[in-house]
Amino acid sequence: MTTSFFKNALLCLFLLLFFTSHAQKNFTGLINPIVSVNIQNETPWSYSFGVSNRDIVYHNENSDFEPLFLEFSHYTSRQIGFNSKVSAGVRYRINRLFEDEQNETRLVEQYAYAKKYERIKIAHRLRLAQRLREKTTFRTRYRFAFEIPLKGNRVDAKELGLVTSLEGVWEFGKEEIPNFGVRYSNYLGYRILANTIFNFGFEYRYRNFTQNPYTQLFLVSALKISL
Amino acid sequence: MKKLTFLLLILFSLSSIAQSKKKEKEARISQNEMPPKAIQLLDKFNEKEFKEKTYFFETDGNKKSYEAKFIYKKHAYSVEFSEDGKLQDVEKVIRKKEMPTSTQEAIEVYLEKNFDAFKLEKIQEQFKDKGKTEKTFQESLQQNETPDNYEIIVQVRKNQQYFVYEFLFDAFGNFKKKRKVDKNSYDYLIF
Repeated sequence: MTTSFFKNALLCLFLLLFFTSHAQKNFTGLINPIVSVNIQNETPWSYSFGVSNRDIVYHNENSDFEPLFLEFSHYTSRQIGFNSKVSAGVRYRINRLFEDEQNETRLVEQYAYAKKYERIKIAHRLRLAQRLREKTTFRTRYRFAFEIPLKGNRVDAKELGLVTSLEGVWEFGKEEIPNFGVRYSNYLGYRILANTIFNFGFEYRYRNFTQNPYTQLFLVSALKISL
Repeated sequence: MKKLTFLLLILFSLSSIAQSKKKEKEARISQNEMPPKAIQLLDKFNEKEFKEKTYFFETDGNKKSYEAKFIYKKHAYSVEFSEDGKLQDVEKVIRKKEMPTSTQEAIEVYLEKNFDAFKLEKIQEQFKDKGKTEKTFQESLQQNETPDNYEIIVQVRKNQQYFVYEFLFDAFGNFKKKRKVDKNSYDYLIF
């Protein structure tokens, strides 16, 4: 009963977002597959390594395939309480593979608080980032995410969970006017093995809404392995 | 002979370590898949208003069991049955303030003594079946009834390391046993 409700709700949301985005100008559809490995043990330290790629598949009423970048990322985290951890990370985006564009390095500092309330896992994330390229842009973002198991009280192997997240992004720099954006994502997490999750869903971004708004719809696909 | 004894000792220690870790896995099932004897017991309490009743098949290492879960008078209950439907125990989730103060203090003194920091995550009263099945079940539904044990999930920190344990304390807060529980992973939600 609960499972079919969530499946239907997800389908409705997806269709709603697809058609509302479709009707807008300045709309881009993207794919962003990610593979990440998270290493955690009983020490307060944990590590995350990832590789991702982003491509445009649809732009302003035209189906179009345009590779954007390949990105490598690393985060080192330290648990600072029973439910919270701080992380520092670096992301390197290779834009030059596809365009004559400068590569980008991002430095990231993050605080996260995550907890489980009965069946629901929640995670707050506050992230500061410095985008270093031909100009330097500073980003502040806050994201709230939660996961609901679609069967039982937790997501075991071969089971699905529904993850929803909402994020606000504020971007500013010396050479740019501050801009704001929001991101909403909804995806299913299928636990292939006890330590391996495959995410599949979408993320809707409404960016720079104070000046020249544009929308992006991402197809979320991620393979996350915990060691 | 000495080598064999040594080998057996190592094997025994390893199996004890394996047993002392909680490896619970639940799968939701329908009422029809529950052992009939278990349903018969629950049916005897039909007049009680059990809300959100659900059934699970549970494995914990080699142990297999069935569980009925429901909400009664704002408390979450889980009633565990053996494979043939015999009542094993009833567990009732309570708040910290619902524990007798002396028991609470005894538990906290034990945890303070053994760990650098701790946080109680989930407290359950445990009523073991002592032969009189209906009486045990009835008692667990009463308010202010003294349980046999308290089963408590605790996050602890010791020597800069973080662990999660499931502790069992008796009704007076005396330590009985503990076993390690896998830490919840949140990294896939954070990154």
